[in-house]
Amino acid sequence: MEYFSEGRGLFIWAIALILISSGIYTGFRYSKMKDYSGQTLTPLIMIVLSLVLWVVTLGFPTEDAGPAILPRLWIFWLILLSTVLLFSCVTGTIDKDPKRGRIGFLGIGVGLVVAYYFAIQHLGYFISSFLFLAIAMYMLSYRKPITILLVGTGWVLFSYLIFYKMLYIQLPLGFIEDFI
Amino acid sequence: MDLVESFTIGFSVILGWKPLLIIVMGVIFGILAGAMPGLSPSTAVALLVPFSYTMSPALALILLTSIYIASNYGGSITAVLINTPGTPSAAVTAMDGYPLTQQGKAGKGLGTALIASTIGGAIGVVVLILFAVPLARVALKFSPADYCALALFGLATVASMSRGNVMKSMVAILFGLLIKTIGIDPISGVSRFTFGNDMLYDGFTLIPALIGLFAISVVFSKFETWTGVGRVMDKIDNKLPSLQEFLKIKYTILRSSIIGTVIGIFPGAGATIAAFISYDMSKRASKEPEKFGHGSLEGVAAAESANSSSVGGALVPLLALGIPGSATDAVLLGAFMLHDLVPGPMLFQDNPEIVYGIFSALIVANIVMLFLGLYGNRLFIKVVSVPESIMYPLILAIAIIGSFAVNGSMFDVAACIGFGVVGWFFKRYGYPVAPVVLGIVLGKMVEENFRRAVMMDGYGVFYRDKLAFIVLLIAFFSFVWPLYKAWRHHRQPATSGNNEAKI
Repeated sequence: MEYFSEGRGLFIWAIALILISSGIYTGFRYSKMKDYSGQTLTPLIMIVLSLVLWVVTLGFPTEDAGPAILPRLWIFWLILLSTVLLFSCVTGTIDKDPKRGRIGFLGIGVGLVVAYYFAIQHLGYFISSFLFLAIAMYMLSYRKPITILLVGTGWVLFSYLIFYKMLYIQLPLGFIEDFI
Repeated sequence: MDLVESFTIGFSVILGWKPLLIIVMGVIFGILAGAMPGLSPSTAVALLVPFSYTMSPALALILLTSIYIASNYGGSITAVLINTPGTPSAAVTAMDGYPLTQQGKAGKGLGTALIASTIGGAIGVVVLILFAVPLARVALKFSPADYCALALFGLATVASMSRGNVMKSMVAILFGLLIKTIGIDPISGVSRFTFGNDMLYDGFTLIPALIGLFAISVVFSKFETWTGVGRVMDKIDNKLPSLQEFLKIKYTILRSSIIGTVIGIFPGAGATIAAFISYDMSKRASKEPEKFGHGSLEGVAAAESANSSSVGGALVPLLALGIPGSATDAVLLGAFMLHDLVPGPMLFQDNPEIVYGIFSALIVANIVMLFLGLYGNRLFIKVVSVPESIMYPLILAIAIIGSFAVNGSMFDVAACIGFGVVGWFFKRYGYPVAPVVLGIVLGKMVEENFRRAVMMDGYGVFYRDKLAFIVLLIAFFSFVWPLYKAWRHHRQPATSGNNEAKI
């Protein structure tokens, strides 16, 4: 098993587990238990995560009360309880999946936050924060341009004064660094 | 050092324009955050941690504890006015508070909530002072095995007392504990689960993880259910309860404050359970139980005094033992660590000005809350009427800058967003996020003390050490009993052929 604890072996182990759990999820999705397919996701992810981390612990030094003991203990209970939850999905003794919300809209929201993260590194904190706030408010159906402008500018000024000037936090400045 | 001398030190910390201003600002922010549905006290405290970086540890903790105590009251404002509890515990307040608004007695509802919160908060603080100090003295004699057992007991009770599926809470705790094992092992120095990434050598930084799990996940959940409908507040009357009405509910306030404080001391029980239990007990003890649910001042007083007094109770194990009793306490523990302080018995010896500064600040914060509540409710209502389409982008902006400011690291920002997604996913499928945080916070305490105890005295120490043995036994039953109950609950519908039973 130690072959799987690092490098190529670990990669193969992780891929195999992901494929198996995807298969189980797909099985649920297209069976009469499809109302519980979403509920299988968390236990499956926990089991995959636990099994991946468990093989990694095989590479830890073996000693009494060593670095592997508690991770293995948590992994054991996590696998056990996740399996019980998975079994509850099979028997239908767990809450059904919640109603499908606006996943597309959420995806756009998360995408916007991720774009904000990358923009901070390239455009700098202040420009990207102004753009982020304006776009996010517009996305959430706010349509008063003056307020959007005021909120964006207000936040930039507030963060500049409080975090940059008062708390001396070195916020990324991006290309405007050359002009300051 | 006697109590009077200690309080002299405590009040010397908070007497001055700067600390008093910080308390006032903390109370205002706490009330506003508590009043905004979706922002829990833990979210409010987590969002303000970044603003406390350059403050002295005493001032930073005074700010955060003022927010904590005020946000519990703030939740009642929207609960009474628009039947939308700002905090989970205010759901109980809404049961009688909103009917009062419908009857045109919103002022009485808000006034009762304010007075009950102030008295409840004060009683909680008194109990905190009376219990935390002797408990901390006793805790000085605790061994690593005792600390490990106490931390495990805290985690077990959090799981057993959580609402909904107990197994999901336990999975959430174990996930948090596993997350905490990432990084360099504190005892052997072995690198664990870092996969060669040197940013993970210290594990995930606590504050970005907290902000992600508490604040960003709330916004993501809101995006998923976004309807675009803003909040609308009606005009309200501002007539407070009369002295006669207040005297009628004095025993309810007293009883509920004591219940709230005692329940608050138990890790995981928290303000919501305290509010529900004291509401139920007040209804049983009331001469007019039929009025409960239809605009009873007693109902409002029971819920509010219990949830506010639970704050003082929950701070007892945090300050005396270093074990957070609630999600907000876990955030506070993170703030302590950020300022290189370790809550527990040694804090009382090494930094009495911090401990007694917090005690004194809580007393003053209660008084400030009373005045601000009496004269500022109309203003607070206007402020919380800010459209959600402005509020949620601002929360995200605060969360991002807050997570960056801890170490000046974009990796922390990425981790914060990642934890936000995890938090949203957990909430979507009914897994509470507070146990994840408690797992992360208590993970280090469990591991270090467990291994130290075993290295010093072997595995038998958990049997030989009487306190550790008893606490572990209680923890074990707290862990197993809800699982057994859930299993029994399963079996009944399964045998009768009902396929849609819930755990």
